[in-house]
Amino acid sequence: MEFKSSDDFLKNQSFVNSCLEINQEDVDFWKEYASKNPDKLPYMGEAAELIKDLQLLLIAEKLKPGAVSTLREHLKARERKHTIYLWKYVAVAAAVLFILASLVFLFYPSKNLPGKPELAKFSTHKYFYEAGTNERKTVNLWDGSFVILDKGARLTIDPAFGQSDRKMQLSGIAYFKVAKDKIRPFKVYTGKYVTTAVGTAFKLQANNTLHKLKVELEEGKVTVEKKRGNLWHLVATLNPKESVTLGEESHLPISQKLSDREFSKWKTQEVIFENAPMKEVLLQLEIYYNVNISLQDTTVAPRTFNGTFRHDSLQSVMEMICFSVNKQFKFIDSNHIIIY
Amino acid sequence: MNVNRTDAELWISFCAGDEESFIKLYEQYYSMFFVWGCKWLGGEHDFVKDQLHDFFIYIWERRAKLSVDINVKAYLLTSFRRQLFYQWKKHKKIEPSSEFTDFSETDESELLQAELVTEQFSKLEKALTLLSPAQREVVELRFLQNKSLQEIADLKNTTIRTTYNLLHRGISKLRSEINEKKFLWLW
Repeated sequence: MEFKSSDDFLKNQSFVNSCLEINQEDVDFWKEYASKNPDKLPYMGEAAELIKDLQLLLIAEKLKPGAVSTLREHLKARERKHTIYLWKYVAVAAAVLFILASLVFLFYPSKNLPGKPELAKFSTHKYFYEAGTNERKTVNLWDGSFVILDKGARLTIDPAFGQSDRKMQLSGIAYFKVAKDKIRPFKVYTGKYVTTAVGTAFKLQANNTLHKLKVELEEGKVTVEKKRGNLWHLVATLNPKESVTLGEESHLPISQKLSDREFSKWKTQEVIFENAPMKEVLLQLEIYYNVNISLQDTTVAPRTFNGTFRHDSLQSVMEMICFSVNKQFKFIDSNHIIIY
Repeated sequence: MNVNRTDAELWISFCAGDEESFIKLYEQYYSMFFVWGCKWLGGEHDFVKDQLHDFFIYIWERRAKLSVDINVKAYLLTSFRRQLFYQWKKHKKIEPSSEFTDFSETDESELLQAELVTEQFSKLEKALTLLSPAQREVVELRFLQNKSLQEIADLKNTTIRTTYNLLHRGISKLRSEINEKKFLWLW
C-alpha cells in the first residue's frame, strides 16, 4: 500500500479506526507501521489531527444547544436570586422551616419513586383531554402529575387547577401518578364521587351514568367521598394495593388486594411516545414500570422518540430505546437501571 | 434583530450588560473553545464542558471591569486557556502556578498565536456547513459515533461503495477548505 500524502491515510479505514481507538489491533498495527516508516510520520500526524479535531468539533456542535439553554437558565436563576435577597426575613423564616422539614424527611424516608415535577416541563397546559376510541392518551399536567387515559376516557381540568387544590373531572378509565403537593389536594370527580390524593398513584374506572366507580390504589393514600344532597360523605380510605368497587346498590364497598404486576400489566398495555424527548420518555417509563432510570450521558437527552409499545417487557423497551441512541443499559438491581 | 454584528460590537454591548450579546458570544465561540480545551487537556470532554460554562459565567460577572478595546477572540481564548489550566491543576491537586493573576494581562506572543490558530479553526467550522446533508451525516456517524463503513451502510440501507464515496467526498471538501501547508493545529 502506497501512502504518499495524508489524504491516503484518511482514506484508509483501518487508520481511521486506530485514530478513533475503536479496536486494539488497528492501533497496534499503525504504531508498528509508524516505527518502520518514520518518513510517513508527518502525513500520519496531519491526518490524525484532522480526524481528532473533526470529532471534537462534531461533539461541540452537538453540545452547543444544550449548553446555551443551560447558560440562559443560569442567568434567569441569578436574576431571581437577587430579588429574593431583598426579603431577608422571609428568607430566614424559610430556612428555618426547611431545616425542620428536612428533619421530618430524615425520619420518614419516602419509599416512593422520586417526585416527578420534572414531567411538568413537558406539559401542554390544556384543560380538556380525550383519548380516542382506539388509542390511549397520556397527559403531563403542569404540576408534574402524569395521567394515562384509557380508550374513550375524558378528563376535564378545573380552571382553578393549582391554586388551592387540583380538581378535575373524569369519565372512563384512567391511571394517575400524582405529583406530591400536600397543600393542594388532587381531586378527581367522577359523577357522584370524588377521589382525593396528595402524592400517590392510582387507577380509576368510572362509569358515571351507572354511578359506578372502581378505585385501585398503587401507592400512597386516597380517600373516596360520595355526594348526598349538598354534603360529601367519606365512603372509603384506601391503603396501597387496595381496591374498592362502589355502586349504587351496595352500601358496603367491596375491597380487593392487588399486585404491582397487575398495575404494571395494565399500564403497559399500550405505551405511546409521540415526538417525546428522551428525558420525558425515561420519566414516563419510570412510572409505567416502577423503576428508576439514570442516564449517564446527557448529550442524548434532546433526542426525540416516536413509537408504540404493547405489552412489552421493560427489557425489550430499554433495548429498543438504547439501540436507537447507540447506548447500553444495565440493571443495577431489579428496580434500578443505568444507561451508559 | 441585529444580524452579523461584529465581535467588537457584541463585546461592547456585553460589557454594558446586554444578556443577548452575551449569549451570542457564547454561541459564536462555544465549539472553538470546546475543541481547544479538549486539545489542550488531551480529552476530558466533561471537564472542559463544565469549565467553559463556568468561564463564561465568570466573565459575565466581571463584565464591568473588563477592557473594551481588545481583540475579543484572542483575549477570550487566552483567558480561557489560563483559567482551564488553573482549574485543571486544582482538580488534579497539583500546586497551581502563581502566574494566574489578573485577567487584563495578556502576553503579546500568546495573542498572535491565538489569532493564527483560530483562523484555521473557523475554516473547518465553515467547511462543515458546506457539506451536503448526506455527507455531513456520514461524517458524523463515522467520527462522532465511531461507526464502521459497514455499520453506516446497514443503517442507511445503502452500499458500502456509496457510504465510502460520501465519506471521502466529505473529507476532501473539508480538506480543500483548509490551507494544507499551514497545518498549525498543534499549539
